[in-house]
Amino acid sequence: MVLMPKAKLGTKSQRRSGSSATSKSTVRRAVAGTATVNKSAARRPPQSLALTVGKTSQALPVLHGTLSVIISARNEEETLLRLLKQVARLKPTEIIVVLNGCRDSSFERARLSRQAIVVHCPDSAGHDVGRAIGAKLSRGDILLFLDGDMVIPAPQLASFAAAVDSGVDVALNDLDSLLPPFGFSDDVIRSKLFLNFVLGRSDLGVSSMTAVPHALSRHALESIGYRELMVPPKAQAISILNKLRVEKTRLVNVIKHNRLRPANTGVGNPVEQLIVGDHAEALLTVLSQRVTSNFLHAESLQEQRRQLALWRNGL
Amino acid sequence: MSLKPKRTSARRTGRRVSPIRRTRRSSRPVRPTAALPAANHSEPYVSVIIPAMNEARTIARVIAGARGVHSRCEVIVVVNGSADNTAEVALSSGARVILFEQPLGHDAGRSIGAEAAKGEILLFTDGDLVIPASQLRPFVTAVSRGADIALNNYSGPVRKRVPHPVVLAKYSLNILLGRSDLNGCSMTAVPHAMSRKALEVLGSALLSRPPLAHARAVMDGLRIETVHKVPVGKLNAVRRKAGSYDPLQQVIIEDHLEAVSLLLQRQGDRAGFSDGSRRREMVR
Repeated sequence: MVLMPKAKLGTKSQRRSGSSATSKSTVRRAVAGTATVNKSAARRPPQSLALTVGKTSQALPVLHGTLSVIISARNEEETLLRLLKQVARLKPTEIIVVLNGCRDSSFERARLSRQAIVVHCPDSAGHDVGRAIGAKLSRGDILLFLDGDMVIPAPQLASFAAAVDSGVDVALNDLDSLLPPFGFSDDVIRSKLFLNFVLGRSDLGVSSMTAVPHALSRHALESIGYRELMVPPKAQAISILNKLRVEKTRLVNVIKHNRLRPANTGVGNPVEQLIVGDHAEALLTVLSQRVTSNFLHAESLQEQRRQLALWRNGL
Repeated sequence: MSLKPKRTSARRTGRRVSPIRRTRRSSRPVRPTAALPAANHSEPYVSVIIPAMNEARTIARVIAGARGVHSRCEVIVVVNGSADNTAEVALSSGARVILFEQPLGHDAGRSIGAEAAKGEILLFTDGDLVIPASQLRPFVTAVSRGADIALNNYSGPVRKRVPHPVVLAKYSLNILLGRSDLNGCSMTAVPHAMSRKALEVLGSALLSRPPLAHARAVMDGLRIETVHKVPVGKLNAVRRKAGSYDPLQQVIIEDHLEAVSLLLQRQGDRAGFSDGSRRREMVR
C-alpha cells in the first residue's frame, strides 16, 4: 500500500501513457485514479477560464518581451513533437532544442518543427549541460527552460513566461503541494529544502531550478552566468545571493509526467547522487560568501554560548 | 487501512505510556537512591558524563539511572552556573562532581567531562533527562561490541512537510556526509556513547560542538551506529525563547553550517558526489 509515493521531485514518477488534446485534459484529470493525483488537482490554483473553452482559440497572455524556449532532450522521440506543438502556441521568438546522446529519432522529430533551432550532440553532454548551451545561444528577453520528456499544455507554460514578463527574474515551478511528510521524503527533496533555508528563503519550500519548467529574465541570465546553469542549485544560490527576484509561480505536476528510468529510481540512484552533489556546490557558494562577514573566533564563540546558557535558564 | 501516514513524531497528546517521564513539572519528591552502590568504581569501564545546570530536582534520579549501566561505572556530573544545590545532591548520590561557578556554555560540559573520564566507554546524557538504566545500556553494549559511536535513534518530529530547521539541518548534514541512512540522528542528541578510540580521534574540545564532532567522526571513518531510540523530544524541558526567535537554534544551525564547510574543504566542492557524465568543457 503505497499511499504517499516516495517521489523524487523532478526526477522520478509514474509515466503517463498517451495524451489527448488539451480540451480533454479536465476530463482526464477527473478520472485519473490515484489519491495523490486527486489531491494535487484539488490544490491546484484555478486555471483561467480560457483553458476549457476551445482547442486552439485560447487566449494566452500577450508578452511584452521576446521569448526564447530552450528544450533539453535525450531520446525523447515519443514526446518531443507534441511538446513542440504546445510551445509553438506561445508564439516564441525562438525555440532552441538541445539534443544530446540521442540514439532514437529525436533529431528527425525536432527537425519537423520549422521554427526550432536544433543543436545535436551525438555524445552525452551530461545533466543540464544542454540548458547552458541553449541559454548561451538564446537572444530573447525571457528564457523558458523545458525538458523534452514531458508535454506540458501551453497555458501552464505561459504562466512562467508571463511571470518573468511582469518583473520576476527567476520563476520556479511550485511543487510544495505535492510534498510528502518529511519523514517520507527523499534526499533530493531534503537537499532542496535545506538550500532554500540556508539562503534565507524557506518560503520557496522545495522550489528549485533543478525542476522544470522554470523561466529566467535576461537580466538573471547575465547576473548568474549561463555556464552556471549546468548546476541548477548553484545557479539558484547565485540568483538569491545576487538579490534577484526569485519566486514560485505555479504548480506543474512534473512528478507524474517524468519518465521512469533505471538511473532515477530507487534510493541512492545516480541522479539522486548527482543532485546532492549539485547542492553541495550550491552550499559552498553560499558558505564562502559568509566566511568573511560571519566568522567568529573560538573565544567569542565560547562567550556567546556561555551567555546563551545563562539566558535560557533565566539567570 | 488508514490513509494517514504513520506517526513519526515523538510529540503526542494524552497520557504518556513511556516509562520515561518528564519530571520538570511534576511535584513528586526526590526519592533517595540508597539501594544502589552510591560510589564510583576505582577502575571504571564506563564513564557517564552528565552536564547539569540547575537540575537539583532531577539530578539524583538521572545519576541513579546512569549508575545502573554497568557494574564498573563512574558518574561524572559537570555542574556549571548553578544557583541551586545540584552539586550537593550529585555528591550525596556518589557522583564525581566538577564544579564551575559560571555557566560553561551550551554543550561545553561534554568536553570537560570527557577530559576527566577514565573509562573505556563514555556515555553522554543530560542533567534534566531522567532515563532508566535499561534505556541507557544499549548504547554501552553497542560500543563494547565494536561500534565507535552509538547514537540515539531519534530524528525529531518529521510528520510535517517542512520540519524544524534543526531537524532539517541534521538530515542534510548526514546526506552530504554520505550517511543518509542515519536520518536525523546525530551526536547533537543525547544519550550517545563513544569508545575511547573515538575520543582520541576527535579530541575532547570538539565535543562542545557536536555537529562538527559528528562530521569529523564520519569523515575519519569511525564506526557510527544508531542503536536505540530514546524519544528525548518528549523529555526536553521547554526553555526560554525570544518570541519565535530561538538563539540556541541559531547556534546549532551555525555549527551545522561549519560542519558542511569542513566537509567541503576536505572532500571537494561536491562533497565527493559524482558529476555524472557532465562535460563541463562544452560550455565556455
